[in-house]
Amino acid sequence: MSTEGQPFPFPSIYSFPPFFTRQPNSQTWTSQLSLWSSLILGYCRYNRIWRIDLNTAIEWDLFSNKEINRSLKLDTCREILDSMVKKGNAEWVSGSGRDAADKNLSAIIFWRRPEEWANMIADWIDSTGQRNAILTFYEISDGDLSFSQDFRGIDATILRKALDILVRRGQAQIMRSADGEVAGVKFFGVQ
Amino acid sequence: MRFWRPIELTAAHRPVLYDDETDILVQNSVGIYEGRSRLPEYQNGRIYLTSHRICYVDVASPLSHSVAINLPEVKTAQYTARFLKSSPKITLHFSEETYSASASPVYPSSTSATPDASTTSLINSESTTLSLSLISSVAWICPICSFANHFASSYRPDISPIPACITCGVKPPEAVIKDALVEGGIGHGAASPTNDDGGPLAATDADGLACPKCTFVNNSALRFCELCGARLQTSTLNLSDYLIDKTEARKESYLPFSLNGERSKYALPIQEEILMYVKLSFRSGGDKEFFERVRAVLTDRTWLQNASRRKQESSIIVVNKELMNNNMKPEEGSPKPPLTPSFGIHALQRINEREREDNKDLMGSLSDLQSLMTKARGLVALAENFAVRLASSPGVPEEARRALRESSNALSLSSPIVTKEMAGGGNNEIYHAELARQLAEFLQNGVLKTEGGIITLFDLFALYNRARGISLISAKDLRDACEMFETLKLPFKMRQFKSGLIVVQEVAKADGIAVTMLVEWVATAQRKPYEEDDGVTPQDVSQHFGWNVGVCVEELETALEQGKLVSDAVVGGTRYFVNIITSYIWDWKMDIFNEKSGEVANAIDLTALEEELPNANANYMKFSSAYKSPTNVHQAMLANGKSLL
Repeated sequence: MSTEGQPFPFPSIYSFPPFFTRQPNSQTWTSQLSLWSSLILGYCRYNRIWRIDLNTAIEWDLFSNKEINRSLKLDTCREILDSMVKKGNAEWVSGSGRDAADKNLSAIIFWRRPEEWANMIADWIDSTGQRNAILTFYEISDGDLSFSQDFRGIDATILRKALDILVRRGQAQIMRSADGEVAGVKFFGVQ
Repeated sequence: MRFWRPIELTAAHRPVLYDDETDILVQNSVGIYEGRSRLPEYQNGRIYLTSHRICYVDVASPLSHSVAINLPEVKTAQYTARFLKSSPKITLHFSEETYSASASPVYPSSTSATPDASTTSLINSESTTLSLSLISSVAWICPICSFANHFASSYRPDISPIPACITCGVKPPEAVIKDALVEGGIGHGAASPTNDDGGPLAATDADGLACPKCTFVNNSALRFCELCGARLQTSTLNLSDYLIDKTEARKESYLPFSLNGERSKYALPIQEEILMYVKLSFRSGGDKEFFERVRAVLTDRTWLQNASRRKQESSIIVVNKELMNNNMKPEEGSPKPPLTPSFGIHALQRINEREREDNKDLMGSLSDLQSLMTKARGLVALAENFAVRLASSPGVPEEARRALRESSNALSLSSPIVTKEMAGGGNNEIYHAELARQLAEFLQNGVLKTEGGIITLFDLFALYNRARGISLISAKDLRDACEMFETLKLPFKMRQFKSGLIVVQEVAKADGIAVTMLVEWVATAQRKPYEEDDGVTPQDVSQHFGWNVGVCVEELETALEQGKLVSDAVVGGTRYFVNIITSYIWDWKMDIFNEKSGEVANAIDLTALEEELPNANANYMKFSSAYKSPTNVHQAMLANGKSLL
């Protein structure tokens, strides 16, 4: 699916210098937020990025266009991610930092919603005949059978969210080991 | 109206002044009278005292109801204090001979009223001589020795020099002579002599007239008291008055009268109405000061001083002009011929002399500020003279002409400066209103044009004060004056930007127009694809529109707030672009992954934006057409990326 080696095809708005400045007009800013959110989702999906750590991500070409020598400010960046979190497209990861400034620096990007992931995993289980089998989390994200799947290398947090949805639907069950740790998941298949 | 004549107004509703006429005083809420009759439509206006005239500018309808009287025709001024409900008034008496001599040619209506012009002039001159012949009977009391002097029969009021006292040889103050003339009835319209008949026109009583000095009742035919020889207070009928007033509204009240001298035999009880004076009624104070100034003007005869200076100056200009353009038709543009004919060597000498003086002026005035101040007037005249010369000589580049015109504009105001003293009694409101009017004139004289239609208050402050040269105004006065633009219905207004920057602009130019103009221009100035130093800076805007940079920033920020422009904050400053963000549509899943989805970034209503942002919309159209088919998307993206490189 992903075109390896090819750089991400940025939309033309990416070359529009004011795109990297937080616009004071609220309507413009709303549009700008929406465009940025799309851009981040697209970029992350294209490059299969699950988490954005702003400390390093701010240097990415996603947030700074070398051609026109413009880059997004950290604050603006955080504001954009915040709006994505509100829309359900991302989630802050409570980092190790103690103070508030350090806190919201890392975010999980849901370039697919957990529901989509849940459906995708369920379909994959069906198509590969793994119904009623017990799989570890690792097997789902990095196992041999999931090699060509979209959720290959999926972030553990997202995976857990997706599986939780399946559990709620009654399609899976989380298996715990004796010491209470999550060991794997059992799929029941679609009735 | 006989005495009040219509006048021209400037756009700011101030009277247009003659060359060298200067404003002296302004007063609000004044009503005017002619004779005893109150002029109903002229009861609330501003009264301007100038060196030549007293102008009345109506508040309600300034264009149709603005009139003036000429001060040279005024003989004396009288002051009546407030009495119960009656406002204080200033009565201005007209001297009959100057009035009747000058009135008929000035009055346009009089031509239709007088079928035979020669008759009129004959009568006029007759009545003039008559009134003058009586002057010898008038006595003035010398303030030094109290001797009652008689005027020489050749004495002409306002023309002849002031006579010296026969006994002590001291010349009296002019006021004494004037008072005497008024008392003697020469300056007093009501007491001027009779007409050609010499008949008993002034029979107010059937019995006769009581002498004002000895109270003896004389026969009404007599003009001097039989007993004491004092002048009797006879009312007269001035023939010219009839001629002039024939078309006036009041003519119905007159008795039938024909030009060939046949007069109705009836008595003329309305004579008192034909009074040779006008009254100014001061409804809101300022009367005393006005009166003092009027008296000072009448005593100084400011109009004469100015006139003589003008004569000198114009003669010089005429000489210069003639010599410069030999083939120019003589006297076409100049109404007055030079005072002395100048030909040959004499003229050349005069030119040389003049040039030497000019050079001296130039060199001397630039040596220090003090001398520049004293010679300012001369220098301005020189600059104007030079402008005239330059304008009439061929082969001068247009740029030089324009530069000169502008510089001379900046050097002086078109009208004399408004000072606090001018506004009656230092009344701030009147002062600021006048200041606002002059500012409006100043702005209209091309100042606002060179500033691109918007001028900041501090630029205006600097320019206006430079134009004033002396007695500069304070920033507060300027601001107060500008605040009155709208109440005075002047075509300018003050506008405050969010940051607090205050500008003055034309009323016709709504706030939105500047922004629209700006956005349109920014759209044309943009390059595509974008580069690092793309966009528009306030400096660029300033260069293009001629606005002050501060104004540009404010206008750009306004456009930004309205969402018509977007900003690009970089280290070097903020750059501005047309807003394409709001109308940009990007379906990322479709574009990159060729996937159908309901999620379209920026799905907002575009129809509202279409009219506002034609350019941005065109932009959008381009994109949407390029991405119409999903298969094109990737190539288009890549192509776009390449073109960006």
